[in-house]
Amino acid sequence: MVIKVENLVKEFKEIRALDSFNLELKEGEILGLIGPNGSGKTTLLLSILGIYSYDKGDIKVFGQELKPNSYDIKRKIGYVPQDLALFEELTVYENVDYFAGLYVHDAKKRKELVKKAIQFVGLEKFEKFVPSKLSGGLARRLNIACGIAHEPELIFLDEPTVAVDAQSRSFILEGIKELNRQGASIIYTSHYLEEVEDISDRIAIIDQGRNIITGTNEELRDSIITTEIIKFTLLEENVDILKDLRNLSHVIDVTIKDSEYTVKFDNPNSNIGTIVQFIKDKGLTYLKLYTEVPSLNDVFLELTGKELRD
Amino acid sequence: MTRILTYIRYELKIFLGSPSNMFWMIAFPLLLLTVFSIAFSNLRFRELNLEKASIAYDEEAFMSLYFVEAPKEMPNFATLDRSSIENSLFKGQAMTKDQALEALQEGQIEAYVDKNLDLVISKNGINQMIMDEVLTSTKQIASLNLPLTAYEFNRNYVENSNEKSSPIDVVFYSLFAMITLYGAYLSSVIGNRLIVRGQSVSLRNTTSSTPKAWQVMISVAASLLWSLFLILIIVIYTELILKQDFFSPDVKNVPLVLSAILFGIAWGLFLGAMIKKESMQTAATISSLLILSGLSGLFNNDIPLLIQRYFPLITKLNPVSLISKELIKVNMLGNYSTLNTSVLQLLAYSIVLIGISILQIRRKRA
Repeated sequence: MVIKVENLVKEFKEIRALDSFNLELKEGEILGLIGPNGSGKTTLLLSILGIYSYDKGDIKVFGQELKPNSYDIKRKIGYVPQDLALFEELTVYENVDYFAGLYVHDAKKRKELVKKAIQFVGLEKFEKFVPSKLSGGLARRLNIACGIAHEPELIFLDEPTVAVDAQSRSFILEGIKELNRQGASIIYTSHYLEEVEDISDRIAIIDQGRNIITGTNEELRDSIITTEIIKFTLLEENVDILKDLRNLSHVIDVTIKDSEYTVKFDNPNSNIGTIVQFIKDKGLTYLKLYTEVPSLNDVFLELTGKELRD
Repeated sequence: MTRILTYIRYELKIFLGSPSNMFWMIAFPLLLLTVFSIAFSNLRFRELNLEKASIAYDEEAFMSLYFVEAPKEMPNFATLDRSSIENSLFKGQAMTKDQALEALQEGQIEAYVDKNLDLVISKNGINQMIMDEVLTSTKQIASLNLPLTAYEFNRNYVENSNEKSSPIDVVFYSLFAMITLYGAYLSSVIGNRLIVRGQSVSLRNTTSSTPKAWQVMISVAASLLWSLFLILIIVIYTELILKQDFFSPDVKNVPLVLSAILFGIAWGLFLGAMIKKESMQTAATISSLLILSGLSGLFNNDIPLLIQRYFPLITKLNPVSLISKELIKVNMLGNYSTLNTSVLQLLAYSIVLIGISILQIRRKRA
């Protein structure tokens, strides 16, 4: 086990930021942490990293408690903070070299690693640029390069794709997968459900300082009652069918938003036929009708009673 | 070693990379020096007309008073012509303390030396400064139980002071003293970065496998180099461009300047470690140096004399006062009587401040 967090409690004055939190990161996996702002994701990372003290519980990293002078363990860790942690006065190369040098003392080896990291994030052409001359996406890539240049075994990525264009986001996500393929264990936080689903081996859903559930994509979906979601819009306006929809077999919830009906079912089969027949029986015409498997947002909604996207 | 040099280079580049730092760190002190030079050059270089000041002394203080005359060798007090002393540099006369205080109030005399060799003055000026120097030196010899032959007979206080020194020099030397502490700006920034308090860069520094003590050492080394470089610029600018003769090539300047620089770095580290917000910490560094320099006479040469009179402890404790006083004594008066004490005091300050800073940096967790 690379990380083991047990019954962690962290309080900031009156606020309990982490409440009996449990988490495990297995060797070689990508663990995605999702949760709304203020749910405790960053607090958890900083507690594991030894930046925050905590009130109760136990944290083990590589089987040991991470103390301020646990330099052997720290050498294996890379951290990419949520905000850009760069020196505006140094060039791209110098920034990566500065932070890599905090781990790698040998100048020759460091030079190789810095070049490799810059190449890894695709900033070779920008080596002599200062961060302010880079676009938001390129600056994010540099932020990552600074955290991974020393080739850590364990990487913490705190919202690495926030405020990044689609092209850079895709590049960054591919990079994270590549780091994982090279053997790094990764903890990754994000607001973006799709990318967490895309790259994570397991996902932990966090809300109000608690780990609501941890599991693979399938395990999370299996943990809720909803099995299928059907959405449709009608040609006719102002029709009152909500009550009748709710009375259909296996329907567990019906909502309407912007003229689009969302119907949730608790059985996985034949639901679309049921809805088509219902619309036909009512003498109505559907404009659009499609089916979805529950998303992470649906999992979050069902487990916490609120939207993750809020 | 290469790694250390690399980091020193990076720290200096980060520090001097911003135009505002470049202005405040280099241009501002040069500008201040230039303005002071233009404003005070006439005052500074005018021929001082050193009139004989009327003073009184306690009978027991006569022997010490004698040394104001800067004798070349130990005199024979049995055959000494007392009147020649009383009417040489100062117009002196023996008085009781009560008589002297009354005479001081009525302006009949300018200073009174009591039996403890303490100087009581009614106004400030070069005469009083010279007397103070001599009395301090004499008292030190007495307190160390050394024979009077320990007195520096080869030092001519009066001649040097008469030719070169003026109260305006206090302003300049306070400025130089402040500049020796400029390493505080760099060390405070680095000190602040070693504790996680909102700066994202500090998250990286503190989670890294490099001990904080090593990072503190880099801070000290970078600040030291930066300070030495700045002082070199200031000396060259003052001596060669402004043509102001402030610095003597006296090797005694070395321990003084180094201890002053170390104190500046320690002060910056201390502020960086103790103050949470970076903006507040910069403001604290600037204001503290200005206040200490102001108390030392940067803005008005009467201030240190007033403080000396009413709050003498502040003068004794104020590091900028210590530095500027010693710079004057070494470079203008050739007087080293209190140099070692001042250097030790500055070193003691530095050790305490660096110790507290390291404890705070190592201890502090969010």
